[in-house]
Amino acid sequence: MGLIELDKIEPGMVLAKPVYSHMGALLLKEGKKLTERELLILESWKIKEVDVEGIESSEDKDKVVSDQLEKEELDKIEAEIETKFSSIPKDNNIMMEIKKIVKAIKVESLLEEKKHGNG
Amino acid sequence: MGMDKDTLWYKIKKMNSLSTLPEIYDRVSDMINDPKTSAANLASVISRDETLVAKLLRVANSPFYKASPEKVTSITFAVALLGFNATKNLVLSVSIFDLFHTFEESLKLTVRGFWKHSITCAVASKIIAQSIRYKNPEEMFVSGLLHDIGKIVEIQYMPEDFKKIINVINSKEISMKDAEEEVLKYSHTDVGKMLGVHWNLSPRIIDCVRLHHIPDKAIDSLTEVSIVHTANVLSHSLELDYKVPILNEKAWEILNLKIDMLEPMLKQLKKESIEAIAVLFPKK
Repeated sequence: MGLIELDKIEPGMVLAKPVYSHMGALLLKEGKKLTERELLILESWKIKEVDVEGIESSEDKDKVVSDQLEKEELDKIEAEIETKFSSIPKDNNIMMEIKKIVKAIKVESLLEEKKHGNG
Repeated sequence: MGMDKDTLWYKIKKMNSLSTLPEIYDRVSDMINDPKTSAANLASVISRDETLVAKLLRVANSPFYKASPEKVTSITFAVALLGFNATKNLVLSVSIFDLFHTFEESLKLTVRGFWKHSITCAVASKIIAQSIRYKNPEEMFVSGLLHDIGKIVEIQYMPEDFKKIINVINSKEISMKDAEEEVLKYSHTDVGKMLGVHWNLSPRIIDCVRLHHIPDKAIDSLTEVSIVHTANVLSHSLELDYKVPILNEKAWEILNLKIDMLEPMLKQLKKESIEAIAVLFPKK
């Protein structure tokens, strides 16, 4: 379940939570299948978003975005380190070990930064 | 054609700020060589310079230097605790930044990056020295701090040549040393050696400055040069701006380092270099 904006509703979606008007009156019950008729009701009551079954909540969506961001950042670290070590022969065990450790340190400090940024 | 070596040597000798290390360092060096000097004598000379005292105590108490588990509150205590040579090296470490200051605006970031790398390499040298139980880790700290000092002389006294060198590095993707050879016919290790000789630094420190790219050429100071060489590789690997120089196998063997020592050393370096930069070269 998750919140979804009205213009993204597709006919056939099922309400995960009841919808109330701004005054608190029950408009649609939980489990109600949404059709053109229900959409009209929601529009006329100026409801902006509803909770429906089967989709990720917007919170989950944010999490997905931050995961993607992290992946981008990870790729960036990877690319930086590859460039830095590009002239080092791959069979140089000591240098490859340094490369591995440096990458782990960079990833760790990025995660630290995030944790501090969010907390 | 860039500035030739003789002209540079002349300039180094003539420049007031470079002509001697800070007076206090010379005094401290002289006193240390005099067997009659006591810790109290030395402390009283250092104490005349209040700014220096503040800096010394700040560093002596900082986590990366860890002079003592107790708080070091006086110079007398610091001298007694550290010993003469470490005190002398510490005086040099906190004074060196003030010798170089009149820089072109366009090179300011380069200079900041330069000092950050130098401090990181100093910390790395000290960490390696401690991990192999080298007798004098403070001198290795100074050697690491000064290993690239020739670059800062180039930036300050020959900025036009330095910019040319940077252009060559970028356009040909070659090392700084090769680019310097192309523009100047000599490199920062030669310039650093000149300054070290002029400053009357220990032959071990001068060898570290001169040979840190080619440690297998070292004879008397093989251990010291190997430490700074390895420290330079570790420092560059943690920074993001330059390509990592390759570790010389002979240096690694001389130090008898083990591959599983790398992770704790690099983690310690990451942590302590941030602390050391904050203490020695704070953002203004």
